[in-house]
Amino acid sequence: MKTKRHQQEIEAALNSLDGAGRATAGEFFFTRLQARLQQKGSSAWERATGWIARPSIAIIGLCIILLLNSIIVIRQFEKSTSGTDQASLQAFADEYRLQVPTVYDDDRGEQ
Amino acid sequence: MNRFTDQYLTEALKNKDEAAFRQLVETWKDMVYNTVLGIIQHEADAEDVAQEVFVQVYQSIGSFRGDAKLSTWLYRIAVTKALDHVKKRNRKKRWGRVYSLFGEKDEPVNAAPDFHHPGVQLDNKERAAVLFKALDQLPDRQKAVFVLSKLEGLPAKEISEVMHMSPATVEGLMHRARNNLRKLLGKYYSAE
Repeated sequence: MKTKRHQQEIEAALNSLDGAGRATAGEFFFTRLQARLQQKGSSAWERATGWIARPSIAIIGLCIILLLNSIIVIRQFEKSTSGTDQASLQAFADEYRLQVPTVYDDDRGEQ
Repeated sequence: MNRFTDQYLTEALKNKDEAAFRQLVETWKDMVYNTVLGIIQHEADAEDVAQEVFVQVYQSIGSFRGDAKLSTWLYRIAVTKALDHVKKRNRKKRWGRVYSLFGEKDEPVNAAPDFHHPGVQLDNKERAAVLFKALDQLPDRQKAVFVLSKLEGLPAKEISEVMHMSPATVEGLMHRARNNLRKLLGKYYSAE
């Protein structure tokens, strides 16, 4: 008995949309749509800045800039340290006459 | 609206004729709104999505080749946008639940209130609200086919053109939708 009543309820619910009228859009739909279109049609610059200002894009951009900066700094540091080493060693050796003296050096002195 | 008028309207829209656009909106706004509302089941959101449909029509009318009727194209955009909106809303709800697990405050995740379609007759309001609740749990394609058939009264052939599938597939989806709804409604009424 209960099952039969359930079945009837189910069928009634399934058919409850039969003969339903169409829902109508609100008043001034077109006016609001026009306003939205004007908003969407903003300049390319506005759209670009809006896109850049999105947090995900801004964070990714910042990370890329930081990464590029650190790569450049590391490379510069490596280049300058290797160059300075050679130059400073040579200067130090000249300053304290650390070159190995040879027989020719003595001959040059006598002349 | 016949094929000739469609062609005239399409040409005018491609030339960004505002009067033609107004005519298009006034002719089809209720059809688009009703379809979107059936899928989304929220009046303010449905209006928003219906406007998005016309914005897309305005922006991409150039790509409309005229193979299908203008109304079929509109239905297709409306169904796609409405289903996308539901997906987004469900994703937001899921994240809301995750956030609530960690005790973070987010938008409240309440059970959706009963949806009452404005076109349903008064004596059927309660039953229709139960049906819409069950409808919301159906897979996307079944939901779309059911709404187009029941709320818009489209025949299987036209639904097949909107959904890019064969009429047989539409019949199959409709059959599965009815069976799934029967199961869901059965659970609801037996729990009462």
